[in-house]
Amino acid sequence: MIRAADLGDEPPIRVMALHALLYCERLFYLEEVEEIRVADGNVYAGRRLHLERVSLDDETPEMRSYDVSSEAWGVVGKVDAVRKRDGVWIAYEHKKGRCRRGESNEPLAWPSDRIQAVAYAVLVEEQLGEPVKQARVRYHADNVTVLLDIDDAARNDLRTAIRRARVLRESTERPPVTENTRLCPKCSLAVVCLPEEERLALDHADELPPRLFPSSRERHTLHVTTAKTRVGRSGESLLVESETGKQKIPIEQIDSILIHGYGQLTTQALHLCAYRGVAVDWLTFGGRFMAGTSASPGRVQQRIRQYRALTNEALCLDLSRRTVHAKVESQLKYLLRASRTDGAVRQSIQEPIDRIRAALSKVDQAAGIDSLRGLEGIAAKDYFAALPRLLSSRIDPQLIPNGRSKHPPEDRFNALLSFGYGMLFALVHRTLLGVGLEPALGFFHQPRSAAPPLVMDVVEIFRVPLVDMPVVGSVNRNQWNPDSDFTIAGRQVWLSDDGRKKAIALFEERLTEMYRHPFTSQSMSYARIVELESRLLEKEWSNAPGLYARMRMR
Amino acid sequence: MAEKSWHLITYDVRDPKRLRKVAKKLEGYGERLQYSVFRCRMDRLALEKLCWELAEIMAANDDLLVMPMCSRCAERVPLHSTGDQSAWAADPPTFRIV
Ligand code: SF4
Repeated sequence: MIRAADLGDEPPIRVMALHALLYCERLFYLEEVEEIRVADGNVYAGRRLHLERVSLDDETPEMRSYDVSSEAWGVVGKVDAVRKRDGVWIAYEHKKGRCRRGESNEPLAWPSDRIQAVAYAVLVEEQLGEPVKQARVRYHADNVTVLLDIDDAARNDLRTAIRRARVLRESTERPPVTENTRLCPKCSLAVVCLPEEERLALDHADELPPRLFPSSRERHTLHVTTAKTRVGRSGESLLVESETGKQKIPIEQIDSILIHGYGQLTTQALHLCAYRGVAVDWLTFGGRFMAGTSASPGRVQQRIRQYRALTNEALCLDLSRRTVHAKVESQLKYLLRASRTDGAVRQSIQEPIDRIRAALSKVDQAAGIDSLRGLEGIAAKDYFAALPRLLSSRIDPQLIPNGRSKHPPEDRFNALLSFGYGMLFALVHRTLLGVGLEPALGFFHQPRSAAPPLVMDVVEIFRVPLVDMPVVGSVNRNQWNPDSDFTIAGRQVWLSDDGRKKAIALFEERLTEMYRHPFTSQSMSYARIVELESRLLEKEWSNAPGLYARMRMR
Repeated sequence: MAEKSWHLITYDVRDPKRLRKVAKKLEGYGERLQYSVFRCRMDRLALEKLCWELAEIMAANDDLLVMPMCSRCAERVPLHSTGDQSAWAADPPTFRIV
C-alpha cells in the first residue's frame, strides 16, 4: 500500500490515466505529464455513452457518475455506476467498443479497461466501507459484459500500475512508441505522437506505415480584408458584417482568422475563438505579421526540452545546416526544373545555378552559423537574380522585378513576394504555437525586432514551394493586372484591395494542393506538411532526431 | 481522417430554454434550413463532438434525428425542394475572404 505520507504534495493519479498507462506508456506520458490532449471521434462517442446509458429496469439501489478518491491509494476518478446486487456492491464500467477474446473465444476485458474497473471497485469499497467483490465491464459494440473478481491479484496489479505511473511522472524522458502497432490507429494522440514517422526513423521502413497523419485540412480560414468589416459573435457562430451584408459562419467550420489591415473583431468573438481553439492573426495591409493569438497552453516539458536543446550550439548548427540545405536546394531545384525545357533560359541562368550549386556543396561542412549565413546570402543573391528569367516574355514588363526589395517592396513582383511571405509567416507562427513550441527561441536566426526567430527558421524551408513557385506561376499565367491589382505610393508598391484578394486565394489554394512528402511518402496538403514539419522539429529534441527538414522538391 | 459529408439534423425539444441552447449549438456547426432543421457538413469527429455536446443539453424526453446523406442524395435535394437550396453538392473552398 502506498501511504499518504509517501505521496507528499504529489497530485493524485486519475483512474483514466491508469487506463492510458496500460494502453500505451507513451500515451500516458503525453497526456499526464506533457498535458497534450486531443479529443477524437471516439473520445466524444465514449463521453456521450456515459451520458446516455440505458436506464435500469429494476429497483436495485445504485449510484451513477459517482466521484471517488482515496488518499491511501493516491487515486481519483468518477465511476460510471455502482449497484447493489444480492446485498453486495458491484462497480460498472461502460465501453463503446468490443471486448477482447480469449483462446476459446471467451470474452475478456482489455488490460486497460480491467485496471480501470479494478481501480473503481477498490475506491468504491474504501469510500463506502463495504466490500466490493466484483467489477463489470460492459462492451456495447458486441453487447458483452465481462465480470472481474476484485481479489488480491487484482489489487496487486493496481498497485503495480500506480507505482509505474508515479515513476513515469517523475521522468523527463518521453517513452518510446509502442511496439504494438495496432494500438496507434485507434489512439487519439496519433497526430501528435506521429508513431509511423518515428518508426521510419528507427529504420522499420519495411513495415508499411499505417498513415495516421490526417492528409487534408478540415476547416476553413477566414480572411478579413476590409476595414469596414466587423466580426462579432452570435452564440456559437461568427457574425460577419460587411458592406455586402451580414452572414453567420459556424465556428466549427473555421480554423483561423486573418485580419489584414484594420478590420474589426469584437472581444466576444475573440473569446469564442479562444474557447474553440481558433487562432487569430493580425497583419498589416502590406502583409506583414503583427500579432497572433493561439489558445494552446504553454507546455512545460516540451519547452524545457526546447530550451535545453536550443542552447546547445552543436545542435543549433546541425539544424541550421539542414535548414539552409533544404532552402538552397529547393532554390536550385526550382531554377533547374523551371528552365528544363528552354535552352536559352537555362543558358542565361547557368552562372547563378553554378554558384548556387557550389554554395550548396559547402553547406554541410560549414563551420559555424556565420559561414552558413554567408552561403545562404550568396545563394539568395543568385537565386533572386535568376528568378526574373523564369518569367515569360509575354507578360507585362511592369511585372518584371528589379532585384529583391523587401521593406518596402519597390516593384509589383516584390509586393507579391512580400505579401506571400507575410502569410507564410503567420501560418508558421500559429502552427508552432499550436504544436506547443516557443517561437522566441530559434536555432539559426537571432532574436531581433519583433520577429520570433523560430518562426523565421521554419519559414525558410517553405519559401520556395509555398510562395515563390505560385507567384511566378501566376505571373506567367497573366493573372495580375498591373494597374488595378496594385497601388503605387512613391517608390513603394502595395497590393490593392482586388490584388490582395487574389494573392490570398493564390496562397490558400497552394495550401490545399497535395504533395507527396518524400520522407514519409504520404500524400498530404501543403497545409498539413507545415504542421508535420513543425511536429518533426519538436522531435529533434524529444528522442527522435533527424526527421526535420527532409522535405525536398522533386 | 474521415471524409466530410452532409447531415440533415432535426430536433424536438420540450422546453424553450433548452430549445434555444440546442439551436445556438447547431448554429456553431451548420446552417439553419427551416425552423428546427439544420444541415451540417461534418466529418466523424465533428459529428461525434456535436452529438456529445447536444446530449449534454438535451433531456431524456427530447428527440434528435441525424440523417447522414451521401453526396448523390445531397445533390438531388435541390431538384425536389423549394426555396434556395443551392450549394448542397460542392465542398466550399477552404478559405473565405470578406
Ligand atoms: S500513437 Fe501509438 S505510440 Fe503514440 S501514444 Fe498512441 S498508442 Fe502510443
